[in-house]
Amino acid sequence: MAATDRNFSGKPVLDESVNKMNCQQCQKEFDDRLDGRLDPARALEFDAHTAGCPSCWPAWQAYRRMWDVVSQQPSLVPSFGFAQRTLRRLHEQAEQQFWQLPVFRWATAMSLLIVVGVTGVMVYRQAETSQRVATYAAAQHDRLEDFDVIVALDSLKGETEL
Amino acid sequence: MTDNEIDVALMLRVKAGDEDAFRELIERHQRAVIGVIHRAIGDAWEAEDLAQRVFIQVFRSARRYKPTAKFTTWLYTITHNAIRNEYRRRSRHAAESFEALTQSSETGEPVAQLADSRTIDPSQQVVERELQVKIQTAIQLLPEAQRTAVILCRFEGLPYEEIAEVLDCSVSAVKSLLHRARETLKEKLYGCY
Repeated sequence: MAATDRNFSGKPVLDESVNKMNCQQCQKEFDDRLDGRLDPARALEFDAHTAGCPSCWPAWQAYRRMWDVVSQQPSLVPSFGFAQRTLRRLHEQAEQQFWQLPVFRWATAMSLLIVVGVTGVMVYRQAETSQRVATYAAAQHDRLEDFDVIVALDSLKGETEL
Repeated sequence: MTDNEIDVALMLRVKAGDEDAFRELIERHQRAVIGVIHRAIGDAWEAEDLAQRVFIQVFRSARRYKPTAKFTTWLYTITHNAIRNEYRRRSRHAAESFEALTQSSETGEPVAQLADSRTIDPSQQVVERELQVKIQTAIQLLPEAQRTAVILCRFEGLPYEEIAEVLDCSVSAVKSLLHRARETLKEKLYGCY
């Protein structure tokens, strides 16, 4: 294994005969090399090829640099008391859920039904009583009118007899 | 004791209703969960809100929890589902989400809460801020699975196998997702590297 020449990376490269990787193979392995998934021997071959290849070297450098740039994004620091607030929220939700239990839902529905039923009955009775009073008043009024007619007829009858 | 063993032990205590264990569990993972959500949705306030919902979900699911998989895989799966639901909700209010995206890009609202201890001059800060916005927008605009794969791989350092479990797909599918995501990011971030 002899270093033959300086290359794009500025490092000595392996002899051409040792490096059997071609450009297509190399570019297929960009992701594995980036994520450290190549075994050491293959990684050496990869590095040797990219270092000496005029087309793979810039492509690999661009790929690697892009991935480095992505990692420059800083991470968000949790605000103070995050855990405490999460626990508080958990308790609040648990409390709300207690009131949303099926038992409470049924009880509320039944109470509403009873209130609506009682109100309905009361309104119905009220309406019935009002109607009865109105009918009685109308009947009384008719009777009084009849009485007036009888009285008038009686007085007329008396006058003719005289 | 490994990190996973500690998490599993805490989770078993949570299962028994131990709130102190739950608080400890939150404190151990809050940064990762908030970080993942923030990178995916971009809004700092909403990221915390959603992270709270994730932890509440963890607490509620504790009874069904079985320590078969790694705890963090399970946690990231819940987080991924929460993010997916949030995106669905946003797609129903498309205008709202667009507004939020442009607002956070223009006003730089999350910047105040970002970890940055470096002291740099204002002009450089502006340039860096622009770059961060560009990166964040590029990540957010990736398709759902690609976005999660990039976040878990790049920022959380998860191996392909774990990402595959979170996304419920094969390892080769993860590799393909990452490759497509990187190609898109390379295009979108052209001139930044």
